[in-house]
Amino acid sequence: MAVTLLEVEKISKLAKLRFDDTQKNKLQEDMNRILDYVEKINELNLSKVEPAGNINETYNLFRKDEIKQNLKQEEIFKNTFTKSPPFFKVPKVIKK
Amino acid sequence: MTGIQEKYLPVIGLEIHSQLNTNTKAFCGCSAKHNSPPNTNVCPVCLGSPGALPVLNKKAVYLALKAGIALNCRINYKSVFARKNYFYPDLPKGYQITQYETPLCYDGSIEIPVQNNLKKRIGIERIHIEEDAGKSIHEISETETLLDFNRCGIPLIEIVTKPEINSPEEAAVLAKKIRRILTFLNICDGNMEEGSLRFDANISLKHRDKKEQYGKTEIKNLNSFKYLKDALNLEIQRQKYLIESENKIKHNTINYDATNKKIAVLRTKEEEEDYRYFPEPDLIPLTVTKELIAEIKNSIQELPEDKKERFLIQYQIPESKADILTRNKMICEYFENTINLLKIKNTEQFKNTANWIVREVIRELNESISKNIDDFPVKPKHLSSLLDILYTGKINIMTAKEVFRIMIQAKDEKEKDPEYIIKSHNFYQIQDESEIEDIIIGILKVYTEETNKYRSGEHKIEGFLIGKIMKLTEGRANPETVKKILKKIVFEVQSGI
Ligand SMILES: [Zn+2]
Repeated sequence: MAVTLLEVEKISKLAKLRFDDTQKNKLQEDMNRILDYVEKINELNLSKVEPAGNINETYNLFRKDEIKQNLKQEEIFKNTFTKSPPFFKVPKVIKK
Repeated sequence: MTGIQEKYLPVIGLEIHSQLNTNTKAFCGCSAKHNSPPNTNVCPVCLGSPGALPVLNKKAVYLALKAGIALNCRINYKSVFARKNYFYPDLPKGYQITQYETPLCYDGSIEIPVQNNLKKRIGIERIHIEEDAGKSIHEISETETLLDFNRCGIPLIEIVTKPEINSPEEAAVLAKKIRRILTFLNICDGNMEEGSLRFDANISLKHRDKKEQYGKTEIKNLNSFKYLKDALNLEIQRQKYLIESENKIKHNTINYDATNKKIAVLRTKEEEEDYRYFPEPDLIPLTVTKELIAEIKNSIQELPEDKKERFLIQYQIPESKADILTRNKMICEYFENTINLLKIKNTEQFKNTANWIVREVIRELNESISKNIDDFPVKPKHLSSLLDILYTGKINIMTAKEVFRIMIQAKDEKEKDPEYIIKSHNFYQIQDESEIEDIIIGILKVYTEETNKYRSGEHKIEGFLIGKIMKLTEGRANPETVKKILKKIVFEVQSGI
């Protein structure tokens, strides 16, 4: 199940990222190498093993419905360059 | 309703997004309160900071299960969360945590009334938990979109119906019924203006004779029953036109512009696999125990519709009153507690109780600050006692209303007791008719001119005279009795007044 160049293009489009041809080829190569690696698991007989969504063997870690202290206003915007407090901002999203 | 003569049958399914009544968000301890200042209810988890990990809110699971049980769903005892990947600024993580292959609840149903007193069953495909996105604000700036992430991460359930709805009217009836169940069980506050409850509708047409099914579209984000109905009607017209003019109906997303009552085709819907769902690695699977299901089932007991039907039969109250009384679980309880405490239990008293709660209690409640009947100063104990006294005729309805107002203002238990209020204010109705006669004669002597006019046929004077008599008795006479005696004295007895 090799990744085609077309699939690389589709994924980059969905992620809103642009690549030149060299980069695309490199990505295709990387992705295929990852898939080959994961493919190894099929060497085992897994017919009796349930698919695991998570490697933890625990279930049900819950939080009580209690309000915890939020971030301070100055902390909230610390990791962003594009702000206009009290808002975050992005280039105009064309809607409608 | 769509008539038989119509060539096309609408095939409609609803997706209902409903914010759960929790204090905090789905996966972090941020407040889920509406109308907070922008970006104050945020933290590394809901802002999608690298390394921050989500932890599931137990209350959200409880409420989602409650919805599932109320809508007759089967429960997935083990379910996993999934990432729905898409790129949009209101979603800081780049994915939404939702459920995909294993929704918490599935395969339910709900009945709605249709013509001729018939009922129609609509299937519920699934109910799953997911998180809400932030709010994009496009209006403030010309060049930028501003973002408020207070809403981001608030727990939602998405209720997906089977495409078994066949008219815009049915869709609205179903939506209303689901809203009623959700609010009655305190699963959601049902506030549609604030977006706590919003509808998406998918719609296609089917040729009645050729059985051909045409393309499907999806109308997004409708936040009123009327918009839902209007948008569906418009989209049905658009699709009909496309079919008749032999155009293909593309799998589009439709936007409804409520101000101009118009629909607009937004975009070609991305194919499902474009969301690249995969199991959420940051959350462990969710399991539900049989005990928890039993506990929730027990807490639901009776749904509003069932309660309403029981009230109609058991208490013989009018449907309009039963309808109002069953909108809110706590009002239901108040009504039944009052009934249970009545000393005189008959259908007339049941009707009086329903009337009093609908007209007086709910009105007072709407004007109160808390709007919560648990905080209402007049408890079922006092109200039942007042209604019993009223029934015996010791006071009239006007006095009863006065007593009720005093009860609301009263400071302690004793002052809330209607017997006590009536005694201390000397509110008892004058029972002795000869006493009333004396008062009337006295009044007629003062107003001889009016009395003569009344006797010679000026009927409108009656109200004036009764008013004077009631004032003199401080409202303690029964107006009906006063009227009867007044007529007797003026028209029958030649007393020379
Ligand atoms: Zn948060």
